[in-house]
Amino acid sequence: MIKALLKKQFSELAAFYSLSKKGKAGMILLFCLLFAVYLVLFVGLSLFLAEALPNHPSLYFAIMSLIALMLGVFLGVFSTYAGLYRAKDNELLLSLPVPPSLILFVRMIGVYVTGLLPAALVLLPAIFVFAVQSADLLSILFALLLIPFLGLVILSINCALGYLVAFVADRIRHKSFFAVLFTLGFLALYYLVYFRANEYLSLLSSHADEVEAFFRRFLFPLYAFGRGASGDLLAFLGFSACAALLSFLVWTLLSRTFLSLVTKKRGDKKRRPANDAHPPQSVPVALLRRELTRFFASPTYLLNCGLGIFILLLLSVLLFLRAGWVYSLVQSVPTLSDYAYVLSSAIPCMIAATNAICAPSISLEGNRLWILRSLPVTSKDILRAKRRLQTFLCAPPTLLCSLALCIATKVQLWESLAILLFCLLFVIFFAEASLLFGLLKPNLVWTNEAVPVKQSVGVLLSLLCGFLTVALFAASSLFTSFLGELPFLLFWCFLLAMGILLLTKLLSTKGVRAWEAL
Amino acid sequence: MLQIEHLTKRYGEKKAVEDLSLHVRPGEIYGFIGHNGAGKTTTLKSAAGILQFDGGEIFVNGVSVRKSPLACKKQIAYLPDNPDLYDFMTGMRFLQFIADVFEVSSKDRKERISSLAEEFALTQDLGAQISSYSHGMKQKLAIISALLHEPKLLIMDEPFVGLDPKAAHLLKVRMRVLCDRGGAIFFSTHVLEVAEKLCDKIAIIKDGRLVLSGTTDEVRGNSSLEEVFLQSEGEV
Repeated sequence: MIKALLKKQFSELAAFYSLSKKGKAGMILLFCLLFAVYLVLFVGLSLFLAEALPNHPSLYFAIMSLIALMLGVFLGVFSTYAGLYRAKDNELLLSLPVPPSLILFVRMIGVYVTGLLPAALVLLPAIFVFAVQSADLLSILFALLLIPFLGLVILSINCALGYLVAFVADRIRHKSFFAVLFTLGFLALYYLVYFRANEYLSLLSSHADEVEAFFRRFLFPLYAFGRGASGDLLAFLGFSACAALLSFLVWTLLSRTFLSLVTKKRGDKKRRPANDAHPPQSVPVALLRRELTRFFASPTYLLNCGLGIFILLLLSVLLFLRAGWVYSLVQSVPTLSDYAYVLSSAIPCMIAATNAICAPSISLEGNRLWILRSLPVTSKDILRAKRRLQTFLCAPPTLLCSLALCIATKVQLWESLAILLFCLLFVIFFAEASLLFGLLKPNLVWTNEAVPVKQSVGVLLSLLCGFLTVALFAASSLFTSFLGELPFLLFWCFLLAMGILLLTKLLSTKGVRAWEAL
Repeated sequence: MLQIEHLTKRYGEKKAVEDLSLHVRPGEIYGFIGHNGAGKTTTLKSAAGILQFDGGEIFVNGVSVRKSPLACKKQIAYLPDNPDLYDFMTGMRFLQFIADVFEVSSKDRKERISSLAEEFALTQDLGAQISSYSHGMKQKLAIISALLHEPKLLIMDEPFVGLDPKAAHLLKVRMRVLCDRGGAIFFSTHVLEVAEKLCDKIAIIKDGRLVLSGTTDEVRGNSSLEEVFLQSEGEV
């Protein structure tokens, strides 16, 4: 029975990646590339830490495990709620002779994998750096063996938080707002730590013993992980056993409430007569409003595809408030001040490139596609509404952030105008590219919306396209200094305008055909 | 009102509907019956302009569904067998969206939503999220949205599934009213008693081909519709 359930759980993912042989090879390459980039990042971090803590291997591993734990929890918590409690096949599975606890167990394996991957991404480079510096084979083996157990701790925390989200989601109306608030709070904390990393590292190396004592006192499980990973057999066994026991306890406890939580009707249970004061709207506005309603109604969609909007707004405010500090920072690095115009355009665009709102909007139609299909609206109108959603939501904060950067770095007027034009064109270009990727790689048969939003090939390709475009723009500025700032920016505006024209053409032909063939 | 001429639709190698022709005239309630997988939903979806078909032609009031899908859809309302609606909207928001797309005037939509919601006992729930609705409530909301723009042709796939007896009765009354005003209805059902009592004409489809069609009296002859259907299926 477990085998059949597991097969179902993973076939959902497998069906989604059922690409051609060439496509599969491309995707594997893409994933390897992304994996390599993150590995390099975490190798760098591990080297820093290892240098700061030469005689404290257990503290080194404890800190790395803390980072792995935070990353695993951050990346997994919202998909945990959707994956455990909001799958569309809940009722079907509950109607089968399968104990609810077993359904939960299988779903928890999916959550486990989601938490284990980021943990491994942090810890494998940490172990590699440790192995290079210390040839203690037993420690390396223990550290490697502890990764799946740390995955169990992440699973337990994610499941507990998923339960809390399910519990709270049932009682509050503005779920998306609170989800965004929580995430922004977490991000603010993350960046606070990130910007003070140097300060913390120097503090760490001078106060390693105190920090180790802090871990021992307040974060004992991670301290035990650190001890275990650096070769302490008792700590290794203790951490492994506790992690396994904790996840078993979480499974047992959640099994008790699983049935009641998944069978609860979501949404507003109270009978509520409607306010019928509603002015008629034109078809394009009605379609756009439909897209907006869906975007803001789903915390998963909003957070994964719209977080960049909030970051852009926050960054703009910070830039306006700390313009002087930004200016002196840019001026303190001579080469950087020469490229202020690149920074003012590339930074907002790079953040805007995280908002691939259009890409999952196709798959999210799911089994409700019949509604649009039966209505007297053209495919072009529908696609235009999706494109407009992304453009309308992303253009103002991107332009605001870009303007704030131009003011802070004192870019000249004409260059500033060209930068704003570049940012606007980039937002339009990215919206069109996201929509095209969403149309070319759709998935209408998902059982929870985290799949099209988080694990979609269309989203991945869109993000890659956005990042590569900005990277190419920034890199090309290094070799085209002879052009001058304004001609360089106008040249890129021209390139983006051409790209938009090409994508518009593709969307109105290939895109419309793909939509109608869904 | 609805003219289906030699409709053919394939899914890969499999022919779901083959050379099917039938006419639904104004004022008629046309029932469409057949076993599971016979091709009923494919025919209904093709007629509603949801599915593209491989052969034949479909006309709504003389307008080709293939050539002018939008002009046809403006005159049609389609009700699927499983009303998956926008869970992220409230019932009222969904109705307003449908009214916006069909360009129903402010005055008309207010009157129609109010009377239809009252009739189907949904007024008190229109402000709630659709995600909190039961299957029957979703079905009622889908029916209200289908009737909102006063379509000339109503295409329905198993419309009585999930409805309580009162709502089912109300729907039957509404169907008759629509036809009395010159509209037409083409719907599929497995409830043969309903088809027998409600339909002016009936068509039986088997393995994608039309095996029998005509007025209800012509189709059933001296037997019951159930007997005729079972005979057509080779069960009797």
